[in-house]
Amino acid sequence: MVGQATDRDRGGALGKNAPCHPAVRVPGVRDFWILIAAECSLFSFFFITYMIGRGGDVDLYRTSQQALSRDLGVFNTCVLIIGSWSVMQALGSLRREHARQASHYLAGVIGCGVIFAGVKVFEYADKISHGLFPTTNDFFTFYFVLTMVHMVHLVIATVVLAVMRRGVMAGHYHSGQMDVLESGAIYWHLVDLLWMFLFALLYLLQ
Amino acid sequence: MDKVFFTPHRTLFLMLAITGISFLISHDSAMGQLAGIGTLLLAGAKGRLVLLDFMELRHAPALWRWGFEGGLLAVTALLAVLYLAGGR
Repeated sequence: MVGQATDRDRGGALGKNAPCHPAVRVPGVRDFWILIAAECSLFSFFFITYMIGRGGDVDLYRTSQQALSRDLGVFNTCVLIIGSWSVMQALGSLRREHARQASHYLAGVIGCGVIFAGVKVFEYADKISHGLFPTTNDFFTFYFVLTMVHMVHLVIATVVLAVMRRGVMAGHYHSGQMDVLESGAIYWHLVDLLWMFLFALLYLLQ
Repeated sequence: MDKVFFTPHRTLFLMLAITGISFLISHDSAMGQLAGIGTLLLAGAKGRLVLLDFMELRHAPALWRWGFEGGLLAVTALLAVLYLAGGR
């Protein structure tokens, strides 16, 4: 039974010492995946609504898109990807009972969250200083609303991982008790997943 | 492809490489709508890597994994169709 095996027995899929063929298992708390599915569905609805709106006035969206900095978008995408890698490394470290190393990786993730949020705040300030507000046109309504909703998720993920890092440092998690920590990691990855599409739709799609 | 191929380091570099390619093709105005479709497909590819390797669904029960992968594929395909329907 999947639910009866410890994480060590199951073989963390991502640790350096993970077996070649880890056991089939659902990472994290199973019920937590309902939240993940709901969030994915909600954002899918947002993305589809955006594309329908874009189809109604492609020129407006393309022109407005020029005001966004693709360089900053790429930078933030890389920050989130590195953050996700750092989360994986933290889980791998903890599965090998290296709590101190795991806390360092989690500190890296938290740093990535702070950098991402800082860049977004800079972007918002830049747009507003150029007279671009959520009410300017449909594109900027989508831009501000979608990226702000996403940033709320990022802040939640960062705070959750910061709390979990304290737990790791206090010895509350170990290789046999990883479900809650894995759920926190999955929430961070959700933030990463959603950004992949936001970045493509808002910054790249011409 | 063997599941062991997707180590955290390889997934990291693959994701960064796909991001770079997306950035480059989005600048290529000569590609027209192909660039847009490519951008969406690459976003879907990165999303799949996040699901399978970062979220560790590569090792989840098949139904669990296919449910999320199917959802991702459906949304990516729908966005591509809406992009083409929007024209230009």
